[in-house]
Amino acid sequence: MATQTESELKMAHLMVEVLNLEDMEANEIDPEEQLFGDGLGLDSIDALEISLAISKEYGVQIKAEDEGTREAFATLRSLTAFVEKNK
Amino acid sequence: MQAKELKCKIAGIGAWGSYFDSWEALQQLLGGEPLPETSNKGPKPTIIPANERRRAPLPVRLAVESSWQATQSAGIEPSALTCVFVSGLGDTDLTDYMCKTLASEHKELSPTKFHNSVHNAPAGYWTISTGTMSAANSVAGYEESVSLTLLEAMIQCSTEHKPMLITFYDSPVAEVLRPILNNQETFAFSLVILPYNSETDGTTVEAQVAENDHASWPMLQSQSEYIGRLYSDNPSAKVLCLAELIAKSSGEQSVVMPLSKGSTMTITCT
Amino acid sequence: MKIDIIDYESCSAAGLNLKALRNSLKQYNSGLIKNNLPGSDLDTWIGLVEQVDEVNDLGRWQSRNNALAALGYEQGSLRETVTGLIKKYGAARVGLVMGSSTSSIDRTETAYTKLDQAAQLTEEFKQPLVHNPHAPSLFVAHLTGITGPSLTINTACSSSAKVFASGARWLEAGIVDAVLVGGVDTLCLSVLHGFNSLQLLSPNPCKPFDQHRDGINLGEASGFSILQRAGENINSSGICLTGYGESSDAYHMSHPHPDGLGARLSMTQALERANRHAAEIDYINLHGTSSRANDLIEGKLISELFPSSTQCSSTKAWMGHTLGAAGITEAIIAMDTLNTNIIPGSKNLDTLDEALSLSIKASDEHKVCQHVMTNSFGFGGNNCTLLFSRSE
Repeated sequence: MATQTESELKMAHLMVEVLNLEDMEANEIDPEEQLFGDGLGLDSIDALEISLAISKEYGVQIKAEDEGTREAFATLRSLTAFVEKNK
Repeated sequence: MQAKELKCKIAGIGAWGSYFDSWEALQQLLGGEPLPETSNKGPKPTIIPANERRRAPLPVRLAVESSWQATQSAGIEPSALTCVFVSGLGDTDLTDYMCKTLASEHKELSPTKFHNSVHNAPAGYWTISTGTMSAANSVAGYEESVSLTLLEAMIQCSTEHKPMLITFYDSPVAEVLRPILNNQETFAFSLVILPYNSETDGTTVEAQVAENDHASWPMLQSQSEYIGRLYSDNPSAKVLCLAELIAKSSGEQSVVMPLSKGSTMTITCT
Repeated sequence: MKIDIIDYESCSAAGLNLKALRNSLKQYNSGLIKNNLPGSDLDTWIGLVEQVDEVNDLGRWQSRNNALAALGYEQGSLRETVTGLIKKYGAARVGLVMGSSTSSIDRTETAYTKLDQAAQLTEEFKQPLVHNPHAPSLFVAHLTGITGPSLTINTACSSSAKVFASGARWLEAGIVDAVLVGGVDTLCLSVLHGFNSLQLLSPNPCKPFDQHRDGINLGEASGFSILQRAGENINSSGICLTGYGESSDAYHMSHPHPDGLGARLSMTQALERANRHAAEIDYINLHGTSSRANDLIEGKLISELFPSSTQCSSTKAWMGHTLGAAGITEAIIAMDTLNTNIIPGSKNLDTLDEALSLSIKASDEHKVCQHVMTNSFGFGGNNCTLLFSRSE
């Protein structure tokens, strides 16, 4: 598993909390693993839930229909980078 | 018009509450056994996929748990059953969450909690978890939730020859609403019923509707304070008057349930 | 199966009653306005029934939802018809099935803004019969004097379509001699912010099936219809409920099955029950919410199941998506084509989604229909299709 940066760990905590990921610790989420589909197995509702939490925590708005959103949500790493960039 | 005969067979039963986690355990309590020392945590039915289970609220988990038990005990594929789910009080925890959030400055709602707040969320999660594509109804009848839903399901079973799953569930009411909807008990109960001519051993139930504007829910046989509180406070637990008949299973017995302001339903078990 | 529709009325932003609705459809006048609901600064359009605010004398029953039900019940000849049936058969032989998804949560929302110092409900809001999911039926039973079996169906957007199926079954089972079926839902912060959280709301007037559609508009409505077994009332409307289909998607709580498998089942079941072929269906009022997902899936399915002779439209651009009341609102529009001989167009359709090829257009069409259908698909993948036919 790739090493998490500090901001990636913080994002992971946020995900575990808002998605109620029961069997997982924040530091166990591989920053390069696919969030959707076969990886962590999240779905479109989870994406909306994370978006809401991110907008509250970081003030960054993510719209499902926007072009950059799919890429942003690919992995924990890409999501953290997206938020850092748009803060 | 002469009412059609409404006669079905009970093929399976499921139940879950704070002090019982199966129909067998509930029967023991009805029979006078003392309450266990500690109350149950959960339920966490594994038939709900992990991805859905982590976001399933209590009413969903209750309804799915007792439904699963009933289908397993009936030995029937869940997806073969048309469902009717009823909750007399709905998910007041989610109502409370939404109303508190909306009364505050920051009105953004959690999308998960919003889609979980629809009354038919439990029926939805059930059909998703079991791949059931037949109809799933989700109803409410306040104090008459049990009798109305039994009727609705038995009509479908008898007149359309459909095997049915009936699930009754209600959970403790959120604090703000408790003064007006006084329930602090957890209860879920499910029946799988088949058309009368099905080749199955099981209690036969027959329903008859009559005009009557003076009915109230019958007294239970049970002397247990817990069972009594469950029965009086939790709308879904009104099914306990039928559960007692089924548990006793001695000859033909009837119970008269209020159905509406002007009608009652007599359920006869053999 | 054959159930007579004795009477029906609709109350929405497109018209206080059926007469006004017919006018709006004909004149192509939408009732949608820019969202101005207090407490929500969401950029969207809504279908508001302004006259609801005048119904404020319901006492212990007061809620916006009950007020809209009361307003709707006063329209047309409903009260007269129901009262006549109660007189003829007795109040306990008339049944009631209401569909709603909000039930009266509008009132609970307000109650929470007026909690006392100890964060408790104030006296005015201690209304147990209102703050529970069965509120619509409890209130309408009180309003009408019906004392027969009365049930509330709450399956999100299919609620007040399913009421027809239950009502029909009760009649066939002979436990009642007439059933009042209805639906009511009102605009409130829960639904506006709820749908906003799912990013489903459009900042524009909705455009069902349009290539450039970008979301839904919400609305409020109430509607009622009276059902009896065929031939038992000489004053029938000339319309029958001849089929219904109900199914589940078994896919996701808030996203429809991508191949429309559940919707396919509910539509084919309705046809089977009515003993009709798809080619015999003159018009379908589609669920057509203007969401990217629903319209694509539903649109494709229609092309697969129905020939080009089956005309389709979504009428949600007239009053918005009225959620638990959408079923009956659109059932009424569909069945009314058998009386008006006008098929309403799919308002706000400019360019059909390029992936679709069903028979749909913005303008209306004069046609004497024999059989019509309506679709309602709700959260949890809950589907209902109704089929109405001209009485012979």
